[in-house]
Amino acid sequence: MRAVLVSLSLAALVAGGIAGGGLAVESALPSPTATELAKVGAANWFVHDRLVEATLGTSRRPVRAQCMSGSLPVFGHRRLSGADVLVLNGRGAAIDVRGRVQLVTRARERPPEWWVAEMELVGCPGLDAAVLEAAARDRSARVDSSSLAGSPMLAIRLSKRLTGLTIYVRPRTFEPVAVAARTANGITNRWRITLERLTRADAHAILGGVSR
Amino acid sequence: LTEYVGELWSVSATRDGSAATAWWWVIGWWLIGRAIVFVTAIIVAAVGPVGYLRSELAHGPLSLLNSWDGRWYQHVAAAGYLLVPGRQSDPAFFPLYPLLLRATHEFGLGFPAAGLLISNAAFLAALVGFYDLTRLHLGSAFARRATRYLAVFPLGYVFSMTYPESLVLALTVFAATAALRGRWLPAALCAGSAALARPEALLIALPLAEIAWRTRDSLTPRTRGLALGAVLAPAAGLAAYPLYLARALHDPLAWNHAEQVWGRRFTPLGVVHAVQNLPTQSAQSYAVVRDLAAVLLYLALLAAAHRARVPTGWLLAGTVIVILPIFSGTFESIGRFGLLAPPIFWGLASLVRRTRADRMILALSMVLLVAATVTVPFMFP
Repeated sequence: MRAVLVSLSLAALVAGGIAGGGLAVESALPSPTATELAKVGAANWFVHDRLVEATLGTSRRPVRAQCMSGSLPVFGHRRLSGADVLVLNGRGAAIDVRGRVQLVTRARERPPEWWVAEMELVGCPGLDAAVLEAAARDRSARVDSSSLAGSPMLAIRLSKRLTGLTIYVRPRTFEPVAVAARTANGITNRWRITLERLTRADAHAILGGVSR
Repeated sequence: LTEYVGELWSVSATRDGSAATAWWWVIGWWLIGRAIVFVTAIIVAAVGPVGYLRSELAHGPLSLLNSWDGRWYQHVAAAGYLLVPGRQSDPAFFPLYPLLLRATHEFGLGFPAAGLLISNAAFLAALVGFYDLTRLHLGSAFARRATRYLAVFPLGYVFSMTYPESLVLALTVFAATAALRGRWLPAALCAGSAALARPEALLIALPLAEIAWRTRDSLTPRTRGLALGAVLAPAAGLAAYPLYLARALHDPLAWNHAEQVWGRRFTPLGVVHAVQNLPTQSAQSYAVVRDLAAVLLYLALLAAAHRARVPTGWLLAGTVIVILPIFSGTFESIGRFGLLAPPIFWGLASLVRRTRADRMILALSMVLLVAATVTVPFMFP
């Protein structure tokens, strides 16, 4: 019995030593900062299909926009994996696939350039996980303590192509609750957002006006 | 460890005339194999083909060997881990290799040079350990054949890349040879370290358990405990990674989450999915065709190893290394994973009895090693 106990104790000691030693050695790698974790935690909320509705006022006129992100089997056989889609007042859509914006309208008119700015103003694709991840990696975005309607928030500040974005997230869960955006020529917008998974039916209903 | 290495040297000396002869012979084959890979890599960087690596190949004459996952390992070494949900991210890459990259970098070497140094030095060590292990199991003549085949194996260009395969192979074979000599503590250290570099190293527990079982009557309570510790060491080493991820990223399953985005999701029907995905994946890249051929070859060689009476623990480990990844829904990269299974090379060596056949296999392997290295810009290992 004593021999078995000696054997088991030694085995546990060796295995524990290996695990503990491994853990100690791994600590030599740089750990992500709290700021990086906040950005990635916020990005986590945007991985799945989402619907963000916002009303924003540009110098032209109020625009109601619906922004989605994820894999939506729309536009015929094309599968928009990881694409962001913004639908503006049912007239057309601006699609951002991996940073390349394509503009689609029913009338085949040349879409105005300010759509891109509007996409970014509404937080689409500015809130995309990849943008947050890139910001986390290059450490260009700041994360500050802030508040919104009396509740403590973390404010993640990002620079986009045409706009600057501030994403307000809950401190513990990193759930995004609001976004503020500002263009280079001073147009600002701030709105609360809710995130929900889109069904394919939702996606088709929203995109029905412009799908082909 | 020092005692163990001394013993390894002296055993080589008694069996093969002199230790220096045996070691120089291994070094010679290492030089031949690596020269083929390095010269081919330099030619590819100079004159092409550049494939998907046009910008990377401009970084230097050996940049081919730092490509694909090598970039990720260097990134982990420089910046640590960060799990990006829904995107390809670096917790898919185990930590020991980037830790060594980081440690070598501290001596003033750049990460690409550090990767080449570590991988190729580790492969030399792996050849020495593999030769010794094979000799202990199957005799000197068999060991020489098998070691030559390993040195110039067509997919063995990976051993010279900034990938952890050569390191894991070295640690694995040293764990087994240490166990065969009753050195259970070095065996535990090597096995645990290997599992910190690649998950396949968990399977070294099978041959270690077999060795412990066969020698159980000669073990004292103390050595029995150390032997059991060595069998558990790969699992302990593997566990250290999720423990670290839990502490650093607040997600112990970050490796699993990252793997899913890299296209690997283990399911009971994964084999069916892998076969179903073949037409689509082979249309995108010939890599999956290469890896399917490798799976079939490896299974045939494992069968040959079985006939050659290779120890059961090794056969089981080799078979699981080849079969298990198919359950992730793809054949991709199994050609590389199989490099960590010594019985595959034992199976190849068992098929060759005559000098002429031996020379033919060596010549064919060298030609295919050149060809496989040339394909690196087009398909990841």
